[in-house]
Amino acid sequence: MNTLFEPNYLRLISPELILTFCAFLLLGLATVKDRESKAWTPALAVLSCLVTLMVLLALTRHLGLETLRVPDLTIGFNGMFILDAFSVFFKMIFLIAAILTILISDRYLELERAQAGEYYALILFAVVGMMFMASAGDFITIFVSLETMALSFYVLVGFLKANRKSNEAALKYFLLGSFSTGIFLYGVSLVYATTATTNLGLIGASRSLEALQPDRAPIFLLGVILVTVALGFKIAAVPFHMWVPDAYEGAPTPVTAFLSTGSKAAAFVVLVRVFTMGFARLGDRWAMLLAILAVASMTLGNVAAILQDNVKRMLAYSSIAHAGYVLLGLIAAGAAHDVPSREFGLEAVLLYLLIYTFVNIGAFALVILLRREQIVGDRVVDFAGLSRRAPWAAFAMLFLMLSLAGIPATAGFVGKWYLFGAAVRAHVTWLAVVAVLNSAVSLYYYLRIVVMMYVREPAEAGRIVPSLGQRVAIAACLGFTVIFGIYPQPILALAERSVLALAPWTS
Amino acid sequence: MPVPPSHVLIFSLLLFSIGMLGVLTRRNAIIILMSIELMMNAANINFIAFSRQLNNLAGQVFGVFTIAVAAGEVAIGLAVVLALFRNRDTIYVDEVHVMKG
Repeated sequence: MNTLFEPNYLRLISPELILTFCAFLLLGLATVKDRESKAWTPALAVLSCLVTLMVLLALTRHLGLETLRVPDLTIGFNGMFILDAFSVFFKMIFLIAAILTILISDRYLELERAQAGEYYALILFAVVGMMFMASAGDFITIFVSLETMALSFYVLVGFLKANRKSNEAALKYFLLGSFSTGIFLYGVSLVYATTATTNLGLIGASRSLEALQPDRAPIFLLGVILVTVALGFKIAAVPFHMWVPDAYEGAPTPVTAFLSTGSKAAAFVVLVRVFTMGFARLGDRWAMLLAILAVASMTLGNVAAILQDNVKRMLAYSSIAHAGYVLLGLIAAGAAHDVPSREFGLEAVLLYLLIYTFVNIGAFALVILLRREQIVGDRVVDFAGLSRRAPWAAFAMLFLMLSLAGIPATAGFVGKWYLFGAAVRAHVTWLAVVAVLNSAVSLYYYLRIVVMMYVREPAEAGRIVPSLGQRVAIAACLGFTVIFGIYPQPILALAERSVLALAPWTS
Repeated sequence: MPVPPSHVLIFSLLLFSIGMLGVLTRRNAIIILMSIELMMNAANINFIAFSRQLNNLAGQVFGVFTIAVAAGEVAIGLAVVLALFRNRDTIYVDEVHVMKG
């Protein structure tokens, strides 16, 4: 008889509990009328994330996850919650993304006159959802945490209530988001009907083999396909990308930054967990399914990005293309026949998502920098002459754009190198070729912004002065891109050790 | 007399398809919302029927969670539609297109 609850379980989820408590505290502070104390909300939100990060690392050290002996798992709540090095890696990504997002939010919200405590509380709630997603070992936990994140994001995307674009973005995101939830649920119900469990570990260990008996296989495979489709919506892969350009363009820019990094990474962590734990024995089948999504995402994302005049929309299509690149690593993990190649593929996924978080939030921070009174500042032409108006910011944008395009000596290059390398190693070389061709295409629209900044004359004079939060965020993103572009060993080692936690299932 | 599982599957698949068709063809945001509810309830029927069939409680637990989360989703969905209606005087999704491309 399993025990339903042990006090020890609370310790495993202590970082999430602390963050939830902080989010409620911020929500309470939002009701205070006093403007003085409201000015402290962003700082408190950053502090909450930092404290959570510290508790998480302390807990990791205490449980000995950093030494990483395989099988290196701490399972709680009867397999529903898994605290392993893999989930800790992603939780770090989410917390860092949240901190950067909060840093770039303050000035923007002031300009939009939407300064409100509940904004920060919602960001923290979204992070709580993401953190549980990283640790979810059961379809029930995946569903509830996915919804915690998604519901927070629906509100955040529509946060500018008086703004028509924000309304429209929220409506489209909400309708397609809950549509994908419906598909996900139905897929899971079919998987449950054939395997008699919702636990990923159990499905992966033996139940998926039983479910592949001829009498049950069609229902089971339909379930797998529906789950893939639903997660395809969340990672923004073509043909489930319709909501992305509108939601990204209409949402408040810091929310777009968070949506394109945190939410995407969270969807990928579920994708990796479901496919490597639950459906590991179907590896070659879902690898083919994902290969179609990857090729479509890369090609359509890059071609459509060329045609955009709005930077947020361009970055939206670019993020669709990047979802395609990241899928390469997961496909390699499914298609490869030997364990090291599989782990290499997953490693590349982790590495790229970490790098992409810094680079993309940095790029959106620059878009926010151009937002001033009366000027929305999200068109490509708004970047004209930025090198004269804000030399350091333009330099940062130059590096971030080169990194997104994957030029050597930037972190983006390291990430792509490993992703494409993983595809070659798993003998899906044709996918790597498609990806390289697409990278070449993408160079065009990233360099367009660089040309704007350095060659064109500015439309107006006057320097642009970033706020303190913006300075810190941009410096952090630029520093990460430059340092790990030249010396990637530390993050490589981190990704390598984190993937080992999945070893019981990848072998 | 117990209902055979294949009948449950056919029924839920029908319900799911009706919901999906509604989402894809209807233009009224509220009706799309209702269609999404149909899809979720199709999943619930599967969960509960197979929970009994397989003598396993996880399905019923999942059903309870789905119902709770769906309620939260409707609350947020209506708020989103309401904010849109205040600015635009419409809830028809094909009339909402400031952004293109």
